[in-house]
Amino acid sequence: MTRTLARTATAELIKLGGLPAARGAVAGTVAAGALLAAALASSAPAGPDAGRVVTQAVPLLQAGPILIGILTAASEYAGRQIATTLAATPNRLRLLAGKAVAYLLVAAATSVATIGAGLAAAWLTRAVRGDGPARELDGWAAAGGGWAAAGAVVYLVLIGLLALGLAVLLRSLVPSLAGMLALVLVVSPLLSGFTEHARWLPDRAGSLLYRPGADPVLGPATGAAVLLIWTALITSVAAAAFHSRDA
Amino acid sequence: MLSITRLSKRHGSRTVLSDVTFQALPGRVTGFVGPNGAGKSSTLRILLGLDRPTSGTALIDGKHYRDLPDPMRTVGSTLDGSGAHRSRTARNHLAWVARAAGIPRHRVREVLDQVGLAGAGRTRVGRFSLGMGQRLGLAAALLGEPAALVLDEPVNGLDPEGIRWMRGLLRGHADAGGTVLLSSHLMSEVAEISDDLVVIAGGRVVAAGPLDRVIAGHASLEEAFFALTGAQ
Repeated sequence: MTRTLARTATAELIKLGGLPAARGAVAGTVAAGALLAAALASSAPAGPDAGRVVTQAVPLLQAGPILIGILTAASEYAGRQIATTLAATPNRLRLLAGKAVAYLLVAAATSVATIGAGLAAAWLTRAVRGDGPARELDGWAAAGGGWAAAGAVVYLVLIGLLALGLAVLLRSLVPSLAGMLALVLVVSPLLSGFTEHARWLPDRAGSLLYRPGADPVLGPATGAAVLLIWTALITSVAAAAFHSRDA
Repeated sequence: MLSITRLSKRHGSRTVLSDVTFQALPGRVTGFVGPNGAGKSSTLRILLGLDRPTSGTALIDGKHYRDLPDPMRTVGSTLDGSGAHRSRTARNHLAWVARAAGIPRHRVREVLDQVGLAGAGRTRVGRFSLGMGQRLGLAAALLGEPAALVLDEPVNGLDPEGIRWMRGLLRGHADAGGTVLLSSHLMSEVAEISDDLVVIAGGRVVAAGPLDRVIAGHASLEEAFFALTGAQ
């Protein structure tokens, strides 16, 4: 079982790597992380420290892992590749598990590189402006900035996993992408202005991973748990549908 | 041997297949013919485990496709042309298929050579002609050196030279003891290539058996086809 799952996951990695859109999403997310952080760091005169600059960029950067997650599933339905995929791997749950593993590897590497590039760019920008990067690094780390950066990485990976589950359910790139981006860029910010219950939305709750203390009810661990429950829910429904319906 | 037994499929109130029964035997090319929408692809999709039948069975050497240990080493198949995403290269497509199916990597180059795409491995699938797409689909089907081939409209889009090549390849496969099941709506091609014939219309098998028996009493397969399917 482990060997066949490894085989399926490796095939899914080769598949993702062969898609120019996926390679573009990975490179674009890392580049956007550096550019956004540099822009935020240079535009805030007496602004926040470098670490906070990076976490400010996460709401926009999440488009990257969301796209990677959706491509992992939805690209099967462009050109009916799904028939070939299921011919090679008829066990549908193993196929989904292989897709999830491949996504997690790519998304984790992308997110670490993105946050790393963002921190480096922010520190560099502030160093050029004359703020001391080394001194600030100490202060930032002491203030729990390292945890926030790690939380940002975890958040980016998890929100894309939710997107993957949605794309398995919807079997199409555009509706999945529109749905996810509408949630994280429009619905969630809008609703949070109206009602405190918006904190239970997957992205709001998950954002506490990199904004600890921003919510009176949820913390990083409970926020992550709420996001995980959403992901488990969507993924279970998607897996049940994928398992039982005609391809 | 491929055995389709009393296969029925309904989508809501619409009956797609009803009581479809036939076999494709080793050493023979079985032509599966019928008008568009008659149920050819639906039957093959159930045989390959993509769709579920409402009732009946479709078995490969007595097993469901999903229960075969390494299915692509037993059955090679094509549905809908290349079956590849248009933005990847032919070689990348075959590489992931080989990995997923547990087939050694060196087979990728071998099948590209075999189907005449040796020079097109680095070309994006989206730039392929219809005929090249068919060849790529066949390359994936041949990766696992399977004993059985299940091909949906394999000569669609092939030029005369390609059709002749495909005919030779399928004949050779059956003569070596393999099983070939191919669907088509091109009567003259099927008549030239098949040993056995299954004619389907409106989701029902209207004739099945050796080619000469099915067309007995008709001037040609085409005449027999129109007489059997009740078309004008």
